[in-house]
Amino acid sequence: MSRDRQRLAHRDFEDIVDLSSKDQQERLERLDDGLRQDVEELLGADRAAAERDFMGAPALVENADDLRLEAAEAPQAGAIPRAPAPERLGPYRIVEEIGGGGMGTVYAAVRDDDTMDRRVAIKVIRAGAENEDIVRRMWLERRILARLQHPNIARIYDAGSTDSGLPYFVMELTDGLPIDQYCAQRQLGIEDRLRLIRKVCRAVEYANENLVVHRDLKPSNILVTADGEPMLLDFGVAKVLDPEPSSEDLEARTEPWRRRLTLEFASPEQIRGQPVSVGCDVYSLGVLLFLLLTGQVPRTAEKITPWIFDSKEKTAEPPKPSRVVAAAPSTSGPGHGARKLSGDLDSIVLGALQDDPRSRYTSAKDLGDDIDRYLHGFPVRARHGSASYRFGKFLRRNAYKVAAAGVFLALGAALVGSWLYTGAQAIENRARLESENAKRKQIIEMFLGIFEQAGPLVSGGVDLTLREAVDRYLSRSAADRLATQPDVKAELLATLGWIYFDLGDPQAALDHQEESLKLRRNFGHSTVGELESTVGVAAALAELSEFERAASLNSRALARIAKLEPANPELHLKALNHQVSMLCLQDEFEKAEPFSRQALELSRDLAPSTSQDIHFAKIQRARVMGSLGNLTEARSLYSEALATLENDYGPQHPLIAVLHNNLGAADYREKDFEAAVETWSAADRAYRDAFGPDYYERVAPLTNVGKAFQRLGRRQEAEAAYLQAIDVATTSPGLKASNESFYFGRPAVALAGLWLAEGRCQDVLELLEAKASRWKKGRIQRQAVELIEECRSRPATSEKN
Amino acid sequence: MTSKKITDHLIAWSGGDETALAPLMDQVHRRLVGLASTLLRSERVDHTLDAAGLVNEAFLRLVEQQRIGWRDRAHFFAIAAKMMRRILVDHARRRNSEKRGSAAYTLQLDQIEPGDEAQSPDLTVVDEALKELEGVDPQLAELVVLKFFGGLGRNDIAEVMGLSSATVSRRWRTARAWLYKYFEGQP
Repeated sequence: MSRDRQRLAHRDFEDIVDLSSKDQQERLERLDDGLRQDVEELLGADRAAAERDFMGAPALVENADDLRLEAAEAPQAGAIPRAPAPERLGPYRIVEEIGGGGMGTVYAAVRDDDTMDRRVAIKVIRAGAENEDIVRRMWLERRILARLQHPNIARIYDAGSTDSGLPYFVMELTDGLPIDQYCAQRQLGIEDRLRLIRKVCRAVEYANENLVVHRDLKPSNILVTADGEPMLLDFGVAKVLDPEPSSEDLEARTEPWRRRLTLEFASPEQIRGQPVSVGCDVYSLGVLLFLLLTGQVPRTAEKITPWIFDSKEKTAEPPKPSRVVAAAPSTSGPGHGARKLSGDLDSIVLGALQDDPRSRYTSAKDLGDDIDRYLHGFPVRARHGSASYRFGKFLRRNAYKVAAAGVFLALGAALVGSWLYTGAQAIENRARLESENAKRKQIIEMFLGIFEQAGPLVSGGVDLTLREAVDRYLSRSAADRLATQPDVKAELLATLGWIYFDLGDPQAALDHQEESLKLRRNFGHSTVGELESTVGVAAALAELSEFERAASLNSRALARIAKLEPANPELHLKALNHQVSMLCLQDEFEKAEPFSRQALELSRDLAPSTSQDIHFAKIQRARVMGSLGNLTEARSLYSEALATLENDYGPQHPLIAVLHNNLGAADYREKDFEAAVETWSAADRAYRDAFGPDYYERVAPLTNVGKAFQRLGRRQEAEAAYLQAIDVATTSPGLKASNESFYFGRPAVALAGLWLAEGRCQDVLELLEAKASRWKKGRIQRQAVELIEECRSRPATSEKN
Repeated sequence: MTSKKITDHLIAWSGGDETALAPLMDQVHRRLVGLASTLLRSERVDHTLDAAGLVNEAFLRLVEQQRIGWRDRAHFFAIAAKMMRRILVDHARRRNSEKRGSAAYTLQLDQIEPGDEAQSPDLTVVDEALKELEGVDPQLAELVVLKFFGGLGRNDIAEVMGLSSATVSRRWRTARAWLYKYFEGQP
């Protein structure tokens, strides 16, 4: 076959390879016989190759050990032939060679003047161009390293250089197995493995606190002795070998620096060549934990490239250990199912493996403490704080951070303002005024205190989220002092309640608001305060799907707020907003309409102000109007709100996701389902970008996308969207069981409807039956019950169709 | 040669300076072999070593990340892929010659299970196939080198070869089908 002819066949093949087999036949028939045969052969080969995944993976180096010999035979720049073992090094007599690694050779040796014949280990560093620098740095670091005295850290006694100028370290000789081999050989269970790692964490914590970062933690540097004690080797050695880049050696740094990294255990900042801190030890401990729990590393070296960590792709997130174990159980793992890992342990591991050091555990101590909590059955911080981790990420990614701090400050100012105001009322009573002044001062102190937590000295250079700062402040100092001042405490609790509410933690919001309400009822002379806490309790209850209690509390509070003298329009707007929100959650749009109109009018009076309640009033009014069929007003309000929001906060504010979600609803009602799919997908993206893929509010836009697809007759895509929504609702750590009907229920009922229409009754029952009985009464629950009954009443034969 | 010089050459070459290519290829070849041996000595959890992983490591260690953009990166990978072909095929040939007497064996296609990555076609045969393919459709041969020996992704291949990603996907299928036929025709 001529070369031109082959190329012709290639072109024809490429033209038709993606067509349906019917179209392929049609096109083939138009070719002349010879060419047709060639193209047919290629098509056949294409199918067979695809089936067998022919050439699917890049070339493998088979028996790569030989390659090493070849490399050794051909001397390379920088690769130094191995020298024979020296007889002695300085005052040490070499006894035997006990190991070699990428870095150099290790010998057992005895000091000449040691009458006890005590053995030490000497690590001779393989030669490189930078020897002199290493020796110089070694002398600088030697004293610091010699000061490290911890039962789980191998002591470094001495350092020097050989006659030929190779640097060496003298250290405590440890007899043991690398930690991963030890665990595998003893077939340790999960708790034993955790206890071992906890010890490692404690040792790292000790070194870190003495300002020594290991920088190269990996199994071969963590030996476990016969009596089960882990020993950490080579502390600080990595730093001596590869110092922090200073500006003058920045250019030269890349090559020697990366050559020694063990990529699987190195932190992203090390791989990227950025400055390192204790965070890199935390990351390596995370990899170690992952390895000991799953038998695998989160990222193999082949997958580690600097742009993996740079990219914004979510695929760069390490997998959850439980999923890894579920997908491929390993023989060297602790031999338990994925179930045991999912939840707390997943959270702990991923908390240590965050790409951004600021999102990780702030220290080996925090990681060790959380492992401790797990072992003792307490809730772990990584999980408890997951909403704040996400919120923290969101803040960091956006200029919104500044705005959030602004909102926080505004809250503080409002609090202080209310105290000033009450203070003015009480001007005749001098004693009382003094007490108001004291409270005012306390509040200001509290806010300063919270901000101090975020300062670099207190936080240890770590960028705290708002919530972490609040938590730290409370745990460190304030709680006891404030307890003596119930009204101050009530104020603080209410403020925190709202912050938790905004952080997407309604349960914590409820706890704080309820406590605040109790205090204000018992001690309060502040009706406004009591009403504010009541609205807070109601809002949190509604988020927890306790609609009846929420509605009755809020309506009563609202009636009283409307009659307040002097009027309090901010609180009034808040109460109205939550009233509308609650009614909308139950699809009671007609009932919500008058409240939403009132809220909108009130918000226009209050503007200009950056209070979220003003935006919220607009958005909710639009939602109500859209649901009642007035799409023109809805759209115009949405556009107005979108413009002000983007102006105030930039493009990633969560309310913008809410807006897209509601705009999608308008598209849907206008029966423009294509547009609805797009708008709702935008809403989903906005949530995901702001809070991460597990964020539970994604359930709403995803379910909606499914409904729009269903109306378009695109069944597969509809099903996929529902399943994704269900997946988020099942895995999102932010969700509580009490919310199941709302978050899991909506997509599940929609999917069940789709399946029922196809006669898949068994699937419907499996999806809903066990769950629906425990759901709260409401529309979703009713629909679920109807679907279940429908399926039960159908004859079993329908399954076979 | 330091990573700085390698990076300089790389930037010059991907910027259009053809004279930078020869020293660059020479250095990358030497360093890849050295690197393979270093990697095999170092303590790795997973002892398999595939070409793509090696090229990745080479990139990490030989090139100053801060100074180059993704286009330079793609070009580095293209060179590394060509070098990998040379290194791996030389290696395979050497191994085969050591086993002389058992005759150069070829892999039976039927033995390749889908997803069984441990099996890789005999690289000397791949090399011969590529030589023939170079005569027929050189673009296809280049694509195979980039993908199979360099582990380059679709977008990087598109950048290096000046094609669209969609074209890269289509052309790859032709190349794969062609190679499959070639292997099938082997004794």
